[in-house]
Amino acid sequence: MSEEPLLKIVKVTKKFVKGGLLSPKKTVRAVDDVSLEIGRVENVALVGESGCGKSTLGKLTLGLLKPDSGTILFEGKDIWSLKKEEFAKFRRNAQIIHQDPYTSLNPVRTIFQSLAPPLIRNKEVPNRKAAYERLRELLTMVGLTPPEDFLNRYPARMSGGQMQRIILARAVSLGPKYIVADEAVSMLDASLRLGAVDLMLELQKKFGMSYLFITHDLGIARYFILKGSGKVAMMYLGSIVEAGEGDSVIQRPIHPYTQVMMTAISLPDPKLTRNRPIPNLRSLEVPRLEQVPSGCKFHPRCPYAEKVCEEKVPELRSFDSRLVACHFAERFAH
Amino acid sequence: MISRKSGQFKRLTYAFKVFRRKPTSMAGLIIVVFFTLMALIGPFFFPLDIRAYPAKRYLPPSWQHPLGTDPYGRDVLMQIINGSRDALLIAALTGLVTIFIATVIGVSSGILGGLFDEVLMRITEIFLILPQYPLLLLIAAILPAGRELTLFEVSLIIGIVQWPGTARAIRSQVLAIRERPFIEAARCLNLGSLHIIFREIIPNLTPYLVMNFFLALTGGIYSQVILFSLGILRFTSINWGVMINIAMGESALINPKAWIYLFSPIVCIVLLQTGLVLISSALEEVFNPRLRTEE
Repeated sequence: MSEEPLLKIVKVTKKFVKGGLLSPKKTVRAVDDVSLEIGRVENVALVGESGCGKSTLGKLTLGLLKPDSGTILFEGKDIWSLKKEEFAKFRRNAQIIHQDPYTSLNPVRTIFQSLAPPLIRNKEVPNRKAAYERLRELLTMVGLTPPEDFLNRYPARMSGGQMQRIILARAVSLGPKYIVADEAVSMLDASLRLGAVDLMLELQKKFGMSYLFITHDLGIARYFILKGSGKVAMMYLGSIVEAGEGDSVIQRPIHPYTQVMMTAISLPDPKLTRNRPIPNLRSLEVPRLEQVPSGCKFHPRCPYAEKVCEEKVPELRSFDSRLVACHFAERFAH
Repeated sequence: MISRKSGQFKRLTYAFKVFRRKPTSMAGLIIVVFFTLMALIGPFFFPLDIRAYPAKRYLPPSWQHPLGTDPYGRDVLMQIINGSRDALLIAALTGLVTIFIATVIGVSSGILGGLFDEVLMRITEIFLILPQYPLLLLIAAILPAGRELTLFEVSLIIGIVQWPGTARAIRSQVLAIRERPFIEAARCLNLGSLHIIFREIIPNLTPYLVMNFFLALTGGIYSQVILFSLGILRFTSINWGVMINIAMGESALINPKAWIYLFSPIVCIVLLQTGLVLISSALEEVFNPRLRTEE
């Protein structure tokens, strides 16, 4: 690729240490040697079961956590060796949208009190009056009208959907280039979810940022990617197992884990859903992160696992216009 | 544009509504307001007169002396009224000192973490382990070196003994708040540590601080009464603790004529403490916007 990606994650590992003084020490590799690239105005859906390290990866890319090894390059620069002003600029360019709208806004401050200081402090606007005007525009943009009604409200006096819109407005208020949407729509009512995704994509057209869309729900990831185009990365126990262009990974999954996940998407027709063959998983239990299986991490559950899978760690290799980490990728090619 | 003044006014009217809905808290409010007024304007109607009138020793209650007189022939009601000023002032100052020390230590410990947190918390624990009242008596006995302490010094001594429990509680609150997503969002928005501490974290502590302030007030009243009634602190003017001290000195427990002199300050202390506790139960609702039903 000739163009430099917006964000480049290079062999990043993040460990957490549990216990210590009295209980035995346990090291958890939440993110294990992950590499990933996100281009400008590109969407990447990061999909995996809960606890697989996808949120940790998101926070690493925002500089909220420091990796134990590996580097994160934003616009070609390692974010942990930036100068103070450069880091502040990076902070403005990389925003987060959390899962739970109810805890994402300070409960004792009104919407204006929460949203105005970032604008003023980062010199987006000269004063409170200008901040008020800017916020009126932003709130109208996310569909909260009339905006005056919302600016003086406390978060407790809004619905989850309204709060999520406020949070979207806050995330784009500094004109960022990159937004991590950490399960951003999972807490919303199913009827509101697609609307929220549509709004996110609409904002992308206006502001031109990239999304890292973190979710455990492959259904919503599919909607997000197919509607907005972009890449899908499947994560399992801290590692990326398959990554590539959205339509190819979703339409023709290769890694057994992706294949299994695809069958978990509900189809519009309940008859079809019911009659669909259930994958032959060897174990329904997700191994714990403290005791990651040897070799291929998926082998204790994989229906196709063989001896080599227990012994050798499969490399994430280029195959069939994507990256996949499976010894038998060829077998599943279509 | 947003007007801060109207916000404050709204909060006051809202607070009043909450109190109206809770009769017990209203009763507490009335008691505390009553004592505050007594301390503020009472002395103008009943000026302090500490001269002894041997002829009027232990007079029973009458129209002229509603609560009778003390062993020196002084009016008891006059002493109660003039004594309330010191009692409330020391309590208020103690509350402020306690909350100030506890907030500084609790918040810095919770936010900075690491070795700093360890050291501060061990110091706090040492203070917690030492029995509070003996420690108070010890400090109060050693520090004055024979002179009379000012009100602020008394409050400072009580505050220094009282802060550790509150500091630990505040620290744990800070630890919980700093992990909330809105703090993470504030970091991404490049809001800076000072903004995060003073505009995001501390405002969330407010209901907690106010409740602890009221608890510190009750602690301040008990502690000062103990110090004065045991005669540990030298004090020439009159306050409730001193009244108990004098009553005990004149063996009020076995003197049937002196009971009203002993009981007057005790009843006042109990009433005031009850009032403070009743108020604090309504404050949670006033200060916590999540519990607010209307505005």
